[in-house]
Amino acid sequence: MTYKKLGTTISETVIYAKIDDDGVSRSSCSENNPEFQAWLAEGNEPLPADEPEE
Amino acid sequence: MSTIKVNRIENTSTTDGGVSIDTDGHVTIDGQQLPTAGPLSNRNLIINGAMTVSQRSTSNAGQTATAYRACDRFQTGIDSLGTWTVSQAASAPAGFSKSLKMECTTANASPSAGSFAAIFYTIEAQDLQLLNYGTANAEVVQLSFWVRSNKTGSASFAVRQRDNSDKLFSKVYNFNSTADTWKKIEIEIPADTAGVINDDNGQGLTLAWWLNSGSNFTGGGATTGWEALDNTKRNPTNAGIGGTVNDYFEITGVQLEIGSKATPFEHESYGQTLAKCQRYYFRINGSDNINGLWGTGFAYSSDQAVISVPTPVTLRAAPTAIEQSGTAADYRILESGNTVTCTAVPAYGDDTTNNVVVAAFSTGNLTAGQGVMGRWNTGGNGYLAWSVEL
Repeated sequence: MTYKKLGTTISETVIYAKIDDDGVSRSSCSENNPEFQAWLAEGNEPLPADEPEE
Repeated sequence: MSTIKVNRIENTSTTDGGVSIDTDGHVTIDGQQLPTAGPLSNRNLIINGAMTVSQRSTSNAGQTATAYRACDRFQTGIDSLGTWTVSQAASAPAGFSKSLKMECTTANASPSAGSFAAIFYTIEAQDLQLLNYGTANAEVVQLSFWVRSNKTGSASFAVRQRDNSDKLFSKVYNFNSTADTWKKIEIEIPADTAGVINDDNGQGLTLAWWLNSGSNFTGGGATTGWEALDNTKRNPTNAGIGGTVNDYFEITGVQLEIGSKATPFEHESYGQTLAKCQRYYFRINGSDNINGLWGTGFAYSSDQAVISVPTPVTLRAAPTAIEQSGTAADYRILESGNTVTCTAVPAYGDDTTNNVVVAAFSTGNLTAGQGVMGRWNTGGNGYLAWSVEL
């Protein structure tokens, strides 16, 4: 399982997609999500957001 | 004023029923215990104690980790102790129709020290202020529930209170003398005059029904009342459920109430229980409304719409995550009479306790500023869910 940055909400909250081991994202969260925060505290780093297409 | 001193009042032609008064003055009418303290209604501090609401799913196979599965509000705790199917089962004692069932599909006969299998239930702190914990007026509490298992013998129940201290009460109970038979259990939880429960929306008490564990949680004996947390006293007598494939544990009729006597289970309608559960988790399903609409909003850009969904009740806290099916095509966006299929799965928006927001994506298919509606696709496989469990 990992997280990938998706972008920001209208109020500029950063959001992340949670990517399960099978590569599918079944949830996303804000940067304030406790589960995401705990994952960061374990030393993990989220994947960067996709580059916008030209 | 006169006083009539009597132990029983009954009809001259009967040998049971009537009114009984025990030596503590507690009254039973026709075999039904009356409350000894607290309100006459809304007595049960447990939500979904009859296991009637199961928003997430009715059966989940292959469970190996702690999570909320099947019956709402009851969390199944699993850590390195086998594989389980967690379900809302149709088996139940008379007067009930559902139970929460944990059935082992891959056993672990020799659990490692830190492993466990249990059922947890956490009560919101502000709902426990009537207990007066931390004062001289602290109340005794009665827990009652029905259990059934293929195993017989004793198991452990524990309560943990983390505000201002980390305290534990644990009790060993005989959960079954006959296999595969429902048995009603009653456990008295003593008053805690020292442990203040904060008046907030955080964790108040966490109840734990232990099925099995490694040595970290057993061996210390049961507590003699409320004590400082000692992990070895959390599961003082290990039932060992999950040591063999097909071991199971079913529970229903869970009631926690103040007073020195347990009273009959306080049933309520499905709608009442569902609304209470939705404070902690709510889910909308495409299968309930195939091809229907799930929210209203506007196109933020040509790629993204922002769609609002009112919450059914005020949530315990503002959600910080959204759950969905994992398939973008389960979701569509209706704009000016034209419905387009989503090109990415819906994502978290800016949520509050009364309204949640979904970011829906359909690259290049929207007109910025247009009003839109979220729409399920015809397969009915989509869902959206928000959890603010304790």
